[in-house]
Amino acid sequence: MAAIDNDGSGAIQREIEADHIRPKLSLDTARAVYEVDRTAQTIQQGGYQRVALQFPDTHLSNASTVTHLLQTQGVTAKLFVLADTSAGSCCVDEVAAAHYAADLVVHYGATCLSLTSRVPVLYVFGQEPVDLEDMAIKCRDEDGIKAEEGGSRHVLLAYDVGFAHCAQEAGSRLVEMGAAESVVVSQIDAAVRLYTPSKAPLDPSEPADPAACGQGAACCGGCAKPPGVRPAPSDDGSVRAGRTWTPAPGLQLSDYALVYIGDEGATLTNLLLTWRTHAAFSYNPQTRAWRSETQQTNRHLGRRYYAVQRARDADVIGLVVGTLAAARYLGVVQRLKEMLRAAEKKLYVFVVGKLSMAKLANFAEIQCFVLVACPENSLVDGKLFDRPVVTPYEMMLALARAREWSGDYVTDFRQFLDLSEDAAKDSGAPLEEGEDEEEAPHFSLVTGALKSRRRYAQAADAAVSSSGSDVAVRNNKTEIARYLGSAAAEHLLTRAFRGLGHDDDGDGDKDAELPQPMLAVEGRSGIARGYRTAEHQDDRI
Amino acid sequence: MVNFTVDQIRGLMDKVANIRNMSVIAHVDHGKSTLTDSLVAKAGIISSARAGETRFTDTRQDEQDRCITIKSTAISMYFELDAEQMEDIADKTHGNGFLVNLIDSPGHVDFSSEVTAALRVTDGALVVVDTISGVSVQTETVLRQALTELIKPVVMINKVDRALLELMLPKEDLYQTFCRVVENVNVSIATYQDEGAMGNLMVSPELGTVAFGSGLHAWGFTLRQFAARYSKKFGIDRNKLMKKLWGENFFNAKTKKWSSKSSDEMATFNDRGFNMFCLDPIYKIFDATMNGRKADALELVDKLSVSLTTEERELADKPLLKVIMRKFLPAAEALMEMICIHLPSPIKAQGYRCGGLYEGPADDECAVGIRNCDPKGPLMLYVSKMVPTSDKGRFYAFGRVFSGTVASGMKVRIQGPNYVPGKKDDLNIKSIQRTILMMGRYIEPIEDCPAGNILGLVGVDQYLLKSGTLTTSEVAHNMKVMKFSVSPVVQVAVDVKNHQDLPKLVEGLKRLSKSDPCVLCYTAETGEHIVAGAGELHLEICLKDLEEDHAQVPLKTGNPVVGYRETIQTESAFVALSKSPNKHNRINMTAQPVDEELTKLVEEGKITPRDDFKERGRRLAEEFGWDVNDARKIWCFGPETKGPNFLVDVTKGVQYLNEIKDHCVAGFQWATQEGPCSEEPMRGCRFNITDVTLHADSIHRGASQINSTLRRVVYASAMIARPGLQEPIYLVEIQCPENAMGGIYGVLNRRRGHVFAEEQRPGTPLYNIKAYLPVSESFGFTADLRSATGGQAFPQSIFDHWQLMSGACNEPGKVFDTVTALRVRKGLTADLPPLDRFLDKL
Repeated sequence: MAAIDNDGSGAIQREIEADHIRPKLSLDTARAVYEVDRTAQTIQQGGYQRVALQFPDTHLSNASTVTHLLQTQGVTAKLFVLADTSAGSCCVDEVAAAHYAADLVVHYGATCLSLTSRVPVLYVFGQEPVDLEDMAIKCRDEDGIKAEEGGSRHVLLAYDVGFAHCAQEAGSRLVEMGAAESVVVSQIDAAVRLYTPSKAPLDPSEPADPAACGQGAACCGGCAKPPGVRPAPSDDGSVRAGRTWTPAPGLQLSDYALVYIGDEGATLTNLLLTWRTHAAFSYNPQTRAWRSETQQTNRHLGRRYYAVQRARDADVIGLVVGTLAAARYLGVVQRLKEMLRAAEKKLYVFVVGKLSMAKLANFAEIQCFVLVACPENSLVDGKLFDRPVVTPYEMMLALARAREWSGDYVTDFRQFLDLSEDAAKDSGAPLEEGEDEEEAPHFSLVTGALKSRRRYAQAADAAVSSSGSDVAVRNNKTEIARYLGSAAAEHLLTRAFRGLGHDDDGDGDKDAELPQPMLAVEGRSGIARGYRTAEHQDDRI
Repeated sequence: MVNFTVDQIRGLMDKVANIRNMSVIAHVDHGKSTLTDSLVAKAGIISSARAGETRFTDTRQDEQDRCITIKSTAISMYFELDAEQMEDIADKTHGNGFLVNLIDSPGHVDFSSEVTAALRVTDGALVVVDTISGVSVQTETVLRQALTELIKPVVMINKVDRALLELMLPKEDLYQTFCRVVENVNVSIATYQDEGAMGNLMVSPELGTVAFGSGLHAWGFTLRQFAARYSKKFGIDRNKLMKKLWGENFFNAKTKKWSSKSSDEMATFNDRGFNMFCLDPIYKIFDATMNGRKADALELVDKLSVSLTTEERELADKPLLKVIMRKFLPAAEALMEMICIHLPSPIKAQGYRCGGLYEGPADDECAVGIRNCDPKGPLMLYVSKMVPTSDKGRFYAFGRVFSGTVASGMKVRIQGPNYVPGKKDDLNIKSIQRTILMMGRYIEPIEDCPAGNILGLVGVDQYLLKSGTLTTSEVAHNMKVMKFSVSPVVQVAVDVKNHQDLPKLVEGLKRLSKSDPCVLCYTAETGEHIVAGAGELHLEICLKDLEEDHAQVPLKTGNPVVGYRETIQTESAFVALSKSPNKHNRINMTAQPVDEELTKLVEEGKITPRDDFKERGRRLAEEFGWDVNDARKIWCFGPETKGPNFLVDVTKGVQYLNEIKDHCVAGFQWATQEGPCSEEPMRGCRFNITDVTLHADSIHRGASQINSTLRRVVYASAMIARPGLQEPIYLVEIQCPENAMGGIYGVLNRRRGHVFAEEQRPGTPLYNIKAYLPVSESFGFTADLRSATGGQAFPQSIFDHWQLMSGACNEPGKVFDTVTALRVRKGLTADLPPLDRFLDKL
């Protein structure tokens, strides 16, 4: 529903709710909350010259304070404040940073912890207050934590980045209060807090180095490497949503109940989808509300499942690049392209910056969009658009004909790349034998009918180029589209209005007598609100 | 015991004039399957002694257990008529051997889609009516279906034994009962018959199109048989005698004269011909055997020249009665004679059915092939349903060849229901692996099969979901898609118990969809798998099949829910305005309700978006009072471009309007698919675009700007037009004895149902109650009714119409609560979206 009233003006007119804006802090508090000392130290040690400070909208009120504090700390580097980021504010805005030729980005506030590919980033999470006592009591009263009747209470504690400072304490408090028998506190990799991309393995043109991960996809979720042991910043499969954790020996993910400290939001959703514990709860420190999230999770998964089913029916796919920063995005785009070509789907690639309905609705012929963006931004609710917007992982599921979704979920690019490689290997062999099977229409769960696939083979391109001097192949009805296999041209044919000069308005073939070409004349100038023409006749609002 | 071979049948397949394709249709429990048994017994597949007990065509275990037919089953049989019988066949024949393809169909309303599928491939129908219950709601429904498909009916009045043994009706009363049944059937026929090609379809005993008998005891007769018997004795012409044996013809035993009065001045014991010559021997046999006067009975047997074996002579009471009656008046004989003589051959039937079967022009090669039933014409084959094979997940495509000859290995064009000639959608070109003959529980492979025959195909099931057209002609249009009298209004969400089983469930849903002509399986937006069926019983069977056969994994099912429709109740209070996201375009709109009658016409496909706009405009103006100019400017129907909502352009002189039409249409489809209040589809609304302001620059009035704006303005105008909700209503027919009526009324009242007709069946202690019952209240209705009436009442519910619920979506009350519940179920916010979300100020 949100989409149809999303006309953009909302963003400007919206009163941001007071409790979300951080109040302007005094110098001392700001110094502690924004970890000014650590930041200054890092900048100086690294010898960075141009530093971009990226603030999310909610923290913008303290930007000047922080800048001032940093300068008084003796930071000599040139400081820039970045705000109103082009993708989500959880992502590091590398492009904006590059405009200022920054050699370090300091990212404040909530983040999706996706890795960058070009600029080193220092994450400053901020420190949010939380009433641990209250949380532990509410957790103790919760019965759903046990995996089975009479089982033990194992808790996996996750938290929004703002609560990282007290996570360990929260964990021990839970045990003290008897809310849980064992608590595993997920770690935000310490190394991630100052993340320096190493150039070599992240080169997008180079395939992901299997050795880097060791066990590849097999290690996902299950295995855990103690954080900090590895010298390099870890971005292998054991990291999910930028977090690592170590289960107690003999226990599995499904033995744990997830307890999350923080507001509901994309971070929580992302965690819920990727960490399939047997139960999930959230504690909101601001409202002090304790809530079971299990049903929420199922509802989310249900919606994603529906999106996958719709993606399965789509023949014309739009690949939307929603990030220009997250590491490996080019690898993912490349892989998706290969997969879609192999499946003979028609593919268009877009870069649209911040996703909005209006932008995507302009491409009416596209039946499904795949959004390549950071994990927290890529879960777009299907309701926003009348076409499904799916993640790369979901697209992969949709393309695998025999495979159904097991309920696991992957948003991490690295894991996706590993998985898709496996999938490519799996599907390679049976494809040739089962040719008959391939041609048969599949049963669409969206409509409950059979859906035959429209194939957009590359053969179409070949046909054009091989025919020598012919620019386009026409049939006797002058329908070029039939031969070119162009989805856009086909769509145009179904439209009632095909642009000026093709406006045959129902009275037969007027295509033959196209209007005569005219001399180009000077157009209008100005902005859409009202062009500057002689009479101002188009001033509409 | 099989008294025909496949080769014999294959030989007969070429003699199209000697083929009879027919279905057995009736109300539930009127004895179709049992009667079919007696025919099968005659063809020799099961021993005749067990006829009436096996229900050969109920092939599934649950059908046997529940004593109810669920799937229609086809069987081919071979009969020979004797020369005397051949005389009565009006059309040309080849010899006296007949091939009868019979389809036994289910009687319960919930499965009437199976009946439709059966009727499509047959030309004649044997309508079975229970003597005691008479013509019931489902009898009428199936008759109507038969007549719309241009299928000729003959009638069998069944369960006469019950009238004799249980009700002890005197002869004259029994005759009157028969008369009423025949009359009622004829009333139905007269109501639904399409004038024209088929001629007079009225059934009447004196023409031999009505048979009487008992399926359970496997006896039956037509007047023709008695006439034949007596014509030798009296030396009267058979046909003349037949007329005397029915109606107001009386025979005076003393004077041996016929008269038209029951009593004349001379004597008082004139007896009705029918009673005297047909019923009398039967009554005598019943009387003698059931009252223990065995000697009398055996004497009668000898008199009627029925030969019994010595063991049979040892029997007494009912078994003896059965044997005598079966030998005296074998049901199969009577029925087969009636079928062969009175039902049309494919040649004859396709001549007049062609127009109703084929979508394309009446003069293309396919139409000509169908009309002539030409085995050398282009192949036209209609697949009407899928029959599961023993091989899991594979299906036989069951259908009929209407033109040409289909052979194993032949390459054909498989056209799905959405195929449009000249396009490639829903079209596959594949070869048929095998052609087979379907015979109840068995199949027999055959080499090829010419026009006019019913058969099964192997190897096309992957390309068709439920039905479709197979052809060899490139210009062929589709055969008309079947129209079902039931629609899937009851839905239930299913899910697997273990997550790993999900792939199996998905595969299972696909198989379920194939195996049933009516069921609908899809995924809701919430990600739930939904199975939708015609009624509770239908769903129950579908879910059982899904769990046990198709998916074979443990499932959990939610509570059944019904779909609603959103509508509006008044004209918009003012003109709604919405602006595009960039504020440069404005659309003004008003909404107004559409006549229920017009809505129904659209839903029935009588008024379609493809009609000529001038003709449609005239019709709307004349019949529904639309402004002619408006009526011509309907931009589109919705949802799915064919639903019962209209987008009408009533603007005057708006620049660039033609450019945004496509975007508006797209937005309208989306909006009407999910209404503003509960995201249920909209129904019966007309939206007028009153004015549009567009930006001069085309880039600023593109799809992205218009699409969502139109959707918002549709919602806005609906929200200010007293939005309402329509719920589906069942028509319920209940037959019960008088003492159960109280219980029925009680149950109906508790469930918001109301009775609108109640009548006593003449000659019986039974009452017929007709009531409307909201589908949402119907869950558990049957069980509830049974317990409230001590098992004496059995309801038949069929979706009848949508009914507006009183109240508005945005005012507190029942409708508001329903809307809130719907929203919560769909995972939306419980509160209705505020109006200003859709409505903009200038």
